[in-house]
Amino acid sequence: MLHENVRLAFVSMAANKLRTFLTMLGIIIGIAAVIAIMTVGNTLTVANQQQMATFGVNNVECYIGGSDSLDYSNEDFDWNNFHPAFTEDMLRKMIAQFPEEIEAVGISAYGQSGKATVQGKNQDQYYANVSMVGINPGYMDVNSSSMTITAGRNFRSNELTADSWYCLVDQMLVSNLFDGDAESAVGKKITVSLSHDTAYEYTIVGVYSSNQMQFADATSVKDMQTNLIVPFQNAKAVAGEDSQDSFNYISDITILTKTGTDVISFTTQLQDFMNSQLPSDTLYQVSCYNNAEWIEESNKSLRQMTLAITAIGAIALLVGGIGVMNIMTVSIMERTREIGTRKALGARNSDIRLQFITEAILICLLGGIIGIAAGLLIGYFACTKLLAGYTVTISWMSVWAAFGISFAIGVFFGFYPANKAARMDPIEALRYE
Amino acid sequence: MPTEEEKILPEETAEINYGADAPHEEGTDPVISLHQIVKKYYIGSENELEVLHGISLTIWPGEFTSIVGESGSGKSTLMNIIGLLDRPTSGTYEMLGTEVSDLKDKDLSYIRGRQIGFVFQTYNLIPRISALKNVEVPMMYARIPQKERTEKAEALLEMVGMQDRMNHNPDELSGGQKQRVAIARAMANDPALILADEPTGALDSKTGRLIMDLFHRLHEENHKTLLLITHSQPLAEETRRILTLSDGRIIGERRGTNAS
Ligand SMILES: Nc1ncnc2c1ncn2[C@@H]1O[C@H](COP(=O)(O)OP(=O)(O)OP(=O)(O)O)[C@@H](O)[C@H]1O
Ligand SMILES: [Mg+2]
Repeated sequence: MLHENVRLAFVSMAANKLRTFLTMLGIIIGIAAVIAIMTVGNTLTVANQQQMATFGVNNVECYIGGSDSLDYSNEDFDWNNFHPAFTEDMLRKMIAQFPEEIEAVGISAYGQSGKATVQGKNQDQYYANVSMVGINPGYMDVNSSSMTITAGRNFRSNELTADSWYCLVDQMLVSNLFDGDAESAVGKKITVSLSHDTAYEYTIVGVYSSNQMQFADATSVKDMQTNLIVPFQNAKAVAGEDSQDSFNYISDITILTKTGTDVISFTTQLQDFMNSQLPSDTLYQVSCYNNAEWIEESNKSLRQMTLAITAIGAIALLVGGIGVMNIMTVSIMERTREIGTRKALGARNSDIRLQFITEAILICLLGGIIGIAAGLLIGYFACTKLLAGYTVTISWMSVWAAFGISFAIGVFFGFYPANKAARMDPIEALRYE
Repeated sequence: MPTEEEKILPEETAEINYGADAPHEEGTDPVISLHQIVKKYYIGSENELEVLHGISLTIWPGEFTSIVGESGSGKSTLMNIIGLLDRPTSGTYEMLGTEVSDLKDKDLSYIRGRQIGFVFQTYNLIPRISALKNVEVPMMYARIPQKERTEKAEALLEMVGMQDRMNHNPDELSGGQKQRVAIARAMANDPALILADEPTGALDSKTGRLIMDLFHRLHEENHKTLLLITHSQPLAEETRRILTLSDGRIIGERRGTNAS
């Protein structure tokens, strides 16, 4: 019987193809809109989550800079003595203030650029452009989510002093100096010549890989500059005591919070605390940020956009549903004699009702399927073209929901006309011209 | 205006139950037993219209009866009541020994589907489905399994000589072919009663003859009880009972002059 009803519904839909399609349009548009936005939304959400993992959602970054009241255009101001920086005292107090929240504090500073070579190898062929980066003991903990050691090992705690001539290098340098063999590079000595003609010898303890972006400002891949990671104190010593560079003026730090910390509220507390440590007449100001906040923010605007488009989709579905009801009413009127005949042949009211509800459901389901396909296509193109680089993630939950909604619209808007058909008087139906 | 004298006869005939005393097999129930069936339209309004004035009629199993009468005399109205498509305003109706005038819609559908086969003047085949599917329709509503339905429908279409057109849709068939499919369909659930309201009315006399022959076969070979409304005097004469309806009353019954 159900099989027969489905067959009949298809026969009747096929008899008026254009009309059936036009009826479906509302459903198609509504479903497509919702599926498309769900696909885009889901893709962004998943991408956010992945970014959250790489950026370290448990990290808080603090910057120190000029306060909002500072007038940067003031030429009379003594800019030579303007050096916003975290003092060691401030950092110690910070760690003491938040023992429950702070797991590690990461500090890094960029030093000079230079060229790394290996003694005994042809320097024209075997060289690598490097930029010195000094890190503190907490740096590796703070960046553990984006940085891994692929060969050798990390610094040991006793290797972070000024006279520790150890370094971590990346695979790029290994390719340039050791033909790509990371294992063999570990333990080797390299000579780093800095711009002012001084050279230092470092021992490679490990090879790291980082998924943070590298700047390709070189003409060839071989000439690309990569980070040579050395102990902070060592880098500072190399840079020179009195140099006015980043080693003496730490302006940003990254804090890894302990698991279970409410990162968002900790960020505000931390910012307030750090500002309270500054003298009252300070021209400096500390700002703290975290990724969780940013992700929360972007998720929020995504939810609002989803809601808006879903609302439009819902209106289209409502209009589509009314269209289905309208076309079913017309179709039933046209088929009055058929209904009368069926009743004469033994159809119960419920048989007639089921037949037309089935037809309404199938129109909606077919519209729903076309809408799902169209929505997935639109969502796919939106993701690949507008949000290039994102991996498209289909929200299967919304695909099933779309099926369910199409079905429900069929039942809801098909019921009234189907019931009207079911309750037709057989005689009047048979006499209908 | 009818004269006083003319009016007396119908009034008297209302007392008669036509066919009640006809010979029949001992212990069998009549297929149809109508008692004082009245049908009114526009009940309660000022133009209330009484179309049937109290019809009493008995039809026994295996009888082939025709109803004749002027247009508007109430033949179709009576047929619809007999076919359980319509309800009488008053009176009682027993079908095969069961009182049916106060049954619910659902039960009426059940009896209609299994005990009554309809043949209409305008065929009323269901459009866009094949002749075979049309014959299957009553069996589908009687919840007969698909395989059985198809087999039975094929056999019935063969019986009416339509085996070569089984997969044709109604709009690909001639009037006579459509009516043959309709007759096969009326036989689908092997009903006790076949009701045909002017089945040859839309056909030429040659095709009409063919359809009438089919009815005779259903009567003689399948032992069906048939009730036929016709405007064709010669065809009516072929049936054993001819009832004449006039202005909502049965005014007489006689044996067809050409009945076998
Ligand atoms: N639904 C209805 N509402 C009002 N009057 C009706 C209705 N159906 C039938 N009638 C009236 O009942 C009377 C009998 O109609 P019916 O169709 O039974 O006649 P008939 O004998 O079958 O005529 P014909 O030979 O032309 O088919 C007619 O006067 C008709 O107008
Ligand atoms: Mg009639």
